Amino acid sequence: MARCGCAEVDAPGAEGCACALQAGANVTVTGTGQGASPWIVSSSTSTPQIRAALSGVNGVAYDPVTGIISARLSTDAGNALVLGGDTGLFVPPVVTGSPLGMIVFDTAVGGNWNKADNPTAKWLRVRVIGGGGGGAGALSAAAQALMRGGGAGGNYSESWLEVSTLPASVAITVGTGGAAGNAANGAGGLGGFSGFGTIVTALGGNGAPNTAVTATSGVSPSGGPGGLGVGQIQSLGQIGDRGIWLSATIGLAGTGGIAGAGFGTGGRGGISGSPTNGQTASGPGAGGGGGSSFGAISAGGGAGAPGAVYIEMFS
Amino acid sequence: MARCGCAAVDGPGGTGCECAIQQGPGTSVTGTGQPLAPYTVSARLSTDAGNALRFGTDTGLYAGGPLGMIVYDTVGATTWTKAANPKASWLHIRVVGGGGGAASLGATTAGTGVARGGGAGGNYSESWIEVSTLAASTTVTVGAGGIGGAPAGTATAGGSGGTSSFGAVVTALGGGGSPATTVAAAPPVISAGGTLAAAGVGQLRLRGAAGGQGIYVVAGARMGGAGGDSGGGMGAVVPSNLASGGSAVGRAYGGGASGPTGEGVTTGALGAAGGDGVVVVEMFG
Repeated sequence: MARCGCAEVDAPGAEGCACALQAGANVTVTGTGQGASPWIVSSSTSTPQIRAALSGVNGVAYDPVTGIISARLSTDAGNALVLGGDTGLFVPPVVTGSPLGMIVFDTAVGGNWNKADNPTAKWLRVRVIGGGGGGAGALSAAAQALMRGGGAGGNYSESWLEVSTLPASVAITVGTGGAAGNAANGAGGLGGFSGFGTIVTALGGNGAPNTAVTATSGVSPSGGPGGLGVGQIQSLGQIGDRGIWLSATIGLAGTGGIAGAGFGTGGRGGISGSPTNGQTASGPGAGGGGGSSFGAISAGGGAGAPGAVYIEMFS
Repeated sequence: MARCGCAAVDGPGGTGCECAIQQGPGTSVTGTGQPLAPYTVSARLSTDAGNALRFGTDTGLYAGGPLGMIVYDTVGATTWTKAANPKASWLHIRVVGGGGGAASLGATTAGTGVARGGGAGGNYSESWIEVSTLAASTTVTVGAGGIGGAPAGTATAGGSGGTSSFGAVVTALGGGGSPATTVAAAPPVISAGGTLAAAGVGQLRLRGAAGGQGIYVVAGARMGGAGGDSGGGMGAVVPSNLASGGSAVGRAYGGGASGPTGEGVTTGALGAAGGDGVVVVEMFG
């Protein structure tokens, strides 16, 4: 193709036809359009022109002298955003309270909570429930009845703990359920203490007493909750239901109390119809039911449920 | 345009001129400024472990935190999806099964009566779940309260409450309905409440309370069994009936129905339904 007068490659004496391409502002055109020398159109905007065209606004810092664009962190007090070790943007999770899951200790084996096993945990929400008390056992005389009370529920304690205030390892204790009262008029056993160390603690519920005596009608006492432990929030376990019998054949033994803050479910007391053992409580921390005895046939109490320790972790 | 020494495209023979723009802390600059490779400037997030900063769905900068709570309290199945909750990294899930229904009274003749027990409360399960362990979609099921016993004139047990669940990861069974096995008779008469269900799946599992026993003490003095509270105290206890023979519906979430009572009522009385369950999902970024 002829590109007259645009470059020396055109033969001398060629006619003065117009160039096909011309460079305008900020553009450079090289080449002749020949196969061996194609046109190349290049932007020729200068560095100062580019830099002058840029600006930094929200969250961006821009230096027109060097052309460096940076993130701009607010200097407002309390800003959690920082530059990480690799100069990227970084929000330390301690500020965000991101969840890290929950650890459950709900068998009487217990264990330990260790900082080394949970290196990103900064805060813990710890809930502790003591063991439930046992229900009492019953043995009535002939032609009489005896309906025992239920054991009390274990107490509940809850605290938020900053990990920096804790030792490297904290012993976890899960209280045992109170023993069932034996069928020979045995009292229910005391539920065990549960604790996150000694930092959050909850006492177990008392077992039902065996003080009521056989008769053709009557009322039996039940177990009450233990004293306060340690925690920001504390809720005592429920007292067990009393036993009551209206005749030598009709009555209700007491149901075990639920643990503090609504945990666990008390075992049912036996009811009339036939001598019935008190029911074992459902965990965590509820009391066992009382036994119901009619006509000299014995019935045992129900055992209390073990307590529990729940540890929710946050970064 | 020449961006000498800024990228490989400049190649050998660059004249040593300065780069037009450069990345500083917290930013990333790519491209050469050529039409085929324009400059792209982005915020650059640190890859240090534990960084809570990420890009939001609108590509803006986003720092994690609570994302609110979804309450599923309509009986039936629906889904929780990652796509609809893209920023969620942890879920705190609480599930309550339906409460048990109460038995119907059945016909009672003059001089006889019965006080039915209440339905048991639904169970409660609670877990913290890391979203990365879930499939893209999880079925959420809310269990219905157990049906009340019917017909009124024929003693019929109440139904069990339905199971509520967040997939198979967190599940809670419904409470049992109260039985209708106790036969109306001259007082005193005591009848049993519904029994609690087996524990489901979850880090923290609390069983609902058994329904209260019904007691017919003497002529004119009857007390139906109270409905059991659901696990974790999520359903209010329905009080037991005294004078009226009616059975009260279980309260949400997952409370059992209270039992009907009557003496010398030839038409009997219906049992009421238990309270529906619930699934509560709290989300954290």
